[in-house]
Amino acid sequence: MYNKQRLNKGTLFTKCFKRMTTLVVPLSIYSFIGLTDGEFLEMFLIMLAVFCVVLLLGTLIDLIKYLRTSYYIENNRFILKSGLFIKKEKDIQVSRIQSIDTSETLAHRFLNITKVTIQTPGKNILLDAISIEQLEEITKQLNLLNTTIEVKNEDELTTDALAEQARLSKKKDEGNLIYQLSLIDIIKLTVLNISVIRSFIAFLLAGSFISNILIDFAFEQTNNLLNTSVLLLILVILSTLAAIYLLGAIFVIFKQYQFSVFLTDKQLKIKRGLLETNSQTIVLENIQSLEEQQNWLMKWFGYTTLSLSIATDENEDEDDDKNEESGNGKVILFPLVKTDQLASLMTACFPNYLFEPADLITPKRSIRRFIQFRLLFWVIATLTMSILFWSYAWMIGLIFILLNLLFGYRSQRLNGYKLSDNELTIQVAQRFSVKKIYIPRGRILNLQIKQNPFLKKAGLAKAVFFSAQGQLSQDTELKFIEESNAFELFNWFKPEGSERNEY
Amino acid sequence: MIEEHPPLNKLDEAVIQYDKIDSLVIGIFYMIGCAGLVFLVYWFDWPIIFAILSVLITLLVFCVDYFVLPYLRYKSIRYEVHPTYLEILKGVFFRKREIIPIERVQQVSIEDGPLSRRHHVQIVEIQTAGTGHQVPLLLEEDAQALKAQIMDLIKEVQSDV
Repeated sequence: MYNKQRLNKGTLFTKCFKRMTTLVVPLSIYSFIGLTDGEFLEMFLIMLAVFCVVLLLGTLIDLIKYLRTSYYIENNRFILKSGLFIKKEKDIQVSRIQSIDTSETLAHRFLNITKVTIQTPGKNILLDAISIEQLEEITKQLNLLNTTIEVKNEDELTTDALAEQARLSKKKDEGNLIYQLSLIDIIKLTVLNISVIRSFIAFLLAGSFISNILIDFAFEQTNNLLNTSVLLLILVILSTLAAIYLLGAIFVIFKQYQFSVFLTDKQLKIKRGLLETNSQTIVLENIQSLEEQQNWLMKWFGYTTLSLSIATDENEDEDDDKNEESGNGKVILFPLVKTDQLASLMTACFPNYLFEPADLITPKRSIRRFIQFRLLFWVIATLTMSILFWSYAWMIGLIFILLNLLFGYRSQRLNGYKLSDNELTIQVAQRFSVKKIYIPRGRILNLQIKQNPFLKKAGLAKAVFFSAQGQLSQDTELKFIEESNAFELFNWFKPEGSERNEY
Repeated sequence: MIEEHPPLNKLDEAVIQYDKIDSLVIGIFYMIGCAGLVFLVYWFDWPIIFAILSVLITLLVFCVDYFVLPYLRYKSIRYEVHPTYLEILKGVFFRKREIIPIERVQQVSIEDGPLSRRHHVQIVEIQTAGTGHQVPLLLEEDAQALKAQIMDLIKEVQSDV
C-alpha cells in the first residue's frame, strides 16, 4: 500500500547534535578540573579525545540503527521496523490512530525535517526525523484509511517561503485558541512557581550546612577566615541564587515560549517552545482526571494552574525522546491562569464536568494524626543533629517542625470531597499548595477504604481513589475522615446495576 | 464499620496448613540470618546481649508467624464477585476493603509456586490500567472459579482503559 521508507538521513545529525549537547557540559567540567592541577591543556586534550570517541561510536550505532529502521503501511496497519541487533517490529492499527504530533529541535529546524509521534490510546510510534514530504505522504495515506485522524493542514508543511503564511493560518486550522502565555506570564510563572523557591531553600540549607559543618570539620584552621568573610559568603550565596533563578527562568522561557492551547470538538492541542518546538494533542474523551493546583504564592496573587491526566500503555521508543510531561501521563494544560478565569476556561474545554467545590469534612481530632509521626521524626532528627553535629541545627529543625504543624492544621482545614452523580471532587492540602482533583466516576480504577484498630477506635478511616495516569495510576488519599464519610464514598462508588449493601 | 456486610466468600480452612508451612520456610531464613548475627557477635567480640536479643526476637517473630498469623490471615481475607464489581477485604492489622469495577479489569492471572502447588493453593491477581490486586491463599478450585467468574463478566463489558 505504501512502500517501505527510511527515516531522513538528517536523523544522524539530529542524534549527533543531541549527543553533543549532552556530552559537552560534563566533559567541559571534567577538563576544567584540570585547571586546579595546572594541567588544563593535557586534561582538555584527553577529554576532547574521549568526546570524539564517544561521538564516533554513537554515530556508528546511529548509522546501523538508521539502516535497519524502516516504516510502511500495509493492510491498514502502520508498521515500524527497527533495532540495533535484535530487529523489533511495532505496528499500530490505522483506525486506532488519534493524532499525528510533531516536534522540532534546533537541529530538526536547521535541516527542515520534523520528529513525528503517531498516537493511539495505547502504543505510540516515534519517527525521529522525516522530511516534510515524507510527513505529507504519511498523513495523506493515513487520511485515506482513517478520515478521523487529526493532522496538520498541508499548507503548513510546504516550503520556507510559505512558512510564515502557514504559521499565521495555523491557529485557525487547529481550532479555537483558548489560552496563550505571554512572555510576561512566563516570567510571572518563574516567580510564582514554588519549586523555584523550594530549590532556593534547599540550596540555602545545603549552603549553610556545607559552610557550617563540612568546612568546619574538614578545615578547622579556616574557621577564623570564614568568620571574617561572612559578608563575602552571603554575597556569594545571593549571587549564586540569582544565577540559579536566572538560569531557571531562561530555561522556562525557552520551554514555554508561546505556550498555546487550541480547542476543537474532540481534541485539545498544546503548542510551545522557542528553540525546540513541541505540539501535543490530547483527545478529550481520553482524559482521566483534572487537577487544579494552587500554591500559597499563586493564591496570594490570584493565580492557579490546571493539569490533566491521560493514560498511555507505553512510553515512546526512546526515553529521551518522549514528551517530558506526558511521559508520566500528566499534562499541564494551563500553567498559569487567573483564578477567576479558570472556571470559564474549564467549562469551555470540559462541558461534561461539574467542577463542584469540595465540602471540607475532616474532623478536628484528625489534626494530631496528620502530624504525629513526622513530628516525632523531626524532633529526633533535630536533637540528634544538634547534639552530635551542629549546635544550631535546632533552628532548622524548628522550621520543619513548625511547617509540619502548619501542614497538619491545613490538612484538617482544607481536605474534603464532594460527590455528584457521576463526578468526584477531592481537595487535598499539600505542604505548600492545595490540590483539587475532579474525576468522573467511570474513570476511577478502584477505591480502597483503610482502617487500623486505632482509627477504628476513633471512628476514623482513610479513603484512596486510583485513576489511570501514564502507564501507572495516580492515587488520591483522603486521610483521617469520619468513618461515615468513608462509607458514603464507598457506597457512591459501587458500580450501578449491582445489589447494594448500604452501610 | 469496615467489617459490616463483609464480602461473602471466605477462605478454605485447609489453606492454614499451607500458610504454616510457608511460615516455616520463611522461619528457616530468619534462623539463618540470626545464626549469622550470632556468629558476628562471637567473631567481633560484641556484647553477648546482641546475640541473646537476636535469638529471642527471631524466636518471637517465628512463633507469631507460625502459630498466630496463619489463623488471623485465614480469618481476615474475604472476597465477593458482584455482577459489576469485585470486592476484597483483607489485612490482619491494617484492614483494607476495596472495590474494583469489572469494567476496569484488564487481566486476571493465577500465580503459584512449588510449595503452594503441592498444597493446591493459588493467588489470583487482578490487573487494571495501573493497579494490581491480589486475592491470596485460595484453593486451586476456588482460584479457578474466581478467575472464570471475573473473565465471564469482563466479556460483557467494554472499556478503553
